[in-house]
Amino acid sequence: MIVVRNLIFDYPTKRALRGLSFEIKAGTITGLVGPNGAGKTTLLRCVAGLDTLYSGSITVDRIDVSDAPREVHRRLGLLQDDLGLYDALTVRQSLAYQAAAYGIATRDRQRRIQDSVNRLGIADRLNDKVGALSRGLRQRLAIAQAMLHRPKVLLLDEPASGLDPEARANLSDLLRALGAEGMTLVVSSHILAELEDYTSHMMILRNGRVVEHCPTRAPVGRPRRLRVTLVQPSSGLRQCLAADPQVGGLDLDGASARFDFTGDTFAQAQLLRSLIQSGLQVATLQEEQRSMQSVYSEKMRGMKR
Amino acid sequence: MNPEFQRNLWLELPSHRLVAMPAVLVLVFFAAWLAGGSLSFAGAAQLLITLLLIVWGSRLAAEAVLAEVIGHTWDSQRMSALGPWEMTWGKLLGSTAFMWYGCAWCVGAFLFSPHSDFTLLVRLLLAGLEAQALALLLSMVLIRGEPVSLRFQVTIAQTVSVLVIMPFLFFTLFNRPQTVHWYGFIIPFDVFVTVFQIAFVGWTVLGAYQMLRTALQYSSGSLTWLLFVVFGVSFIAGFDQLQPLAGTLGMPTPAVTRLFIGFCAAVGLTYACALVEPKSLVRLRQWLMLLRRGRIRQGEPLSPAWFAALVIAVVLGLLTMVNIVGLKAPTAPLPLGPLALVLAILLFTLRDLALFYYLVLYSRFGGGNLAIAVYLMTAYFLLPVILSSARLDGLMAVLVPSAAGPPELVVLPVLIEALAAIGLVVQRWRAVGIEGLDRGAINGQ
Repeated sequence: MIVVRNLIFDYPTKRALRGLSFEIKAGTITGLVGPNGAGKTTLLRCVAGLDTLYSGSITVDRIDVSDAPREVHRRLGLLQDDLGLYDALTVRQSLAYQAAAYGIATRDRQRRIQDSVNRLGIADRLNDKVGALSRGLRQRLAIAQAMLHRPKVLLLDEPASGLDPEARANLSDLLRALGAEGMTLVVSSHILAELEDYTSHMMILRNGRVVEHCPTRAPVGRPRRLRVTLVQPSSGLRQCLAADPQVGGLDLDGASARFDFTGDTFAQAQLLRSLIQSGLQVATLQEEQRSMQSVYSEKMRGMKR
Repeated sequence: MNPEFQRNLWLELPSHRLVAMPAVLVLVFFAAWLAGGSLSFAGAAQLLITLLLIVWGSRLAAEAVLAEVIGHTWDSQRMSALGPWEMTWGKLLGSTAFMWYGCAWCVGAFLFSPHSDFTLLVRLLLAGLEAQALALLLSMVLIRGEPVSLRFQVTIAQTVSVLVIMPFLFFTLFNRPQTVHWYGFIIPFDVFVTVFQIAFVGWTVLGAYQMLRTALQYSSGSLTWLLFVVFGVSFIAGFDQLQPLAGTLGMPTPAVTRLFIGFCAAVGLTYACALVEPKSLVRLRQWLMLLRRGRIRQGEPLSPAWFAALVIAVVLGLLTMVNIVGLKAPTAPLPLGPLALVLAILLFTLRDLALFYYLVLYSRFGGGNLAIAVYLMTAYFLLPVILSSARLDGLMAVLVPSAAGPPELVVLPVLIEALAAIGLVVQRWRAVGIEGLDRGAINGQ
């Protein structure tokens, strides 16, 4: 859905993006992470066709952003960090303006607006002034505006900043639902634990370069990382695990061991049985998810070395 | 309805404003009537129209786009399906709707007065539209430039618009000459100014449309700007009142004098354009990179707009020089004074353009406009004042174009300066231009 090739972007005193290349597949939710100044917002603005590239190319839904930015805008929604709302208008007027400005046919406008406010839970706020809404409600209105024209791609820059925990949970639910409907989402955020709830991919930017772009969950058919923990250390653990052909990448640490396991859940149950039959006192055997935070921290440490 | 116009009406004309404006105006008119009868009544209407449309209206028009930038809604508008024409008139008439609403009451009062003057009224309304269109255009020009305070930019756009409209206002309200002598025609003043005002509104609205077109990322050519330069040069060259002024510089015939005036107008437009257009290093790099990749149409919005005016200036300058030489009597000596003057003006222009770009390329932050302003102030004001104070007027030709000095002193120093300035730009570009930047990027800068 989004293909970026050798993207370079300059500010007067700094090269902000240094030859980025990546692809984002349709229907995925990509978490865009990185330290301040890494180029996340600049990248989103370039993909949205708001800034002129120095060199390289970006295509969205097979349309070149530099050649036909207006065509790309029809397929894309952008929620910026600062939301960009008209405080003096009511929620109804804001959405009516957005619908008309984005070229939604007159006969469809009312239905689209009603669908959006129902979905975002702001139907009871239609006659409220935007300036009087809380940060969470403003966020919902901004998202309603950004998706009113039903874009194929939705770019969100720090959508959770300033939200309370409940509003964040609601936002996560909404983004998950949009992803499930096939919308491609790119979400820039500093809150990695939250991104983990709903992203399918993670992209780490640092100094204008992509340092990691990977799925956040192991794809089907790939080995899973398991972790077994005994009640007390035992030399039999290594022997028992090494004897299983489905185990690889063994990493022993006292009473626990981490390893890649190619078998399915039935094979995992069989392994547990054999460990217990070998006389080992197994406390837990579980799949280990590498958190986004751990991947991010590893990558950042790697860059600093 | 145009969504942009509709949105502005929602913002500008809430019910309390619809009531408050006529209430205040009625009180003002009543006070004026009590103070001085029908004459003061008409005067108050004129003054209110001026204040509402020109002073306040130009501020609102300047805010039409800048307020979107301040409110972080501009990007959303740029990404919308709104076209440039919808955006232009939606913003121009929508953002000032409250002023036009108040003005409608004032027009009613003015026409009700026995001292009403319909021509005056039309010209006041046109002046209001001019000020607002110019403020919108200037605000669009300013947001492309260096990132300074947006509120300050609103004030600049408003102030410049009001100042530009002042001469119209002066001639409309206080001093109305009978005729204008233009290209040998004697035209009634009211007709001339009204037609010019209509043309001015047309050009400013077209200018704002072009700027919005570029902002909305439609491909835009330079034809509109080129046509405006031709219009501006032709318009200024037509004033017969300028003939005696330029004639003192040694031009052989009125036709050549007119060419020379047009040449000076084109030079003026070149400077004006070079000063106001954005000149950042990044824009230059992007433009040249697009040219390299053969994306000429895409690069047009980034190309230096002063270039079209400079080409016309060079053409008019050469035509002036050819005519000066061609029209001299066969036995007469070559009139070196006027020839040197035209050449010097061209060389000064080239020197200054080169130095503008050198300062821009040298500036690490922003576009170097402050440095350019300091340079111009020093070159054309401080140094001439120092020379004059030191009674070295003979050397003045080194600092400003002159027809009076020895031709070699008028031309040679500025020729050397222009070549040196161009050399500096080339040297600086090698360091920070495309190749320089790519070298820096490879080194991780």
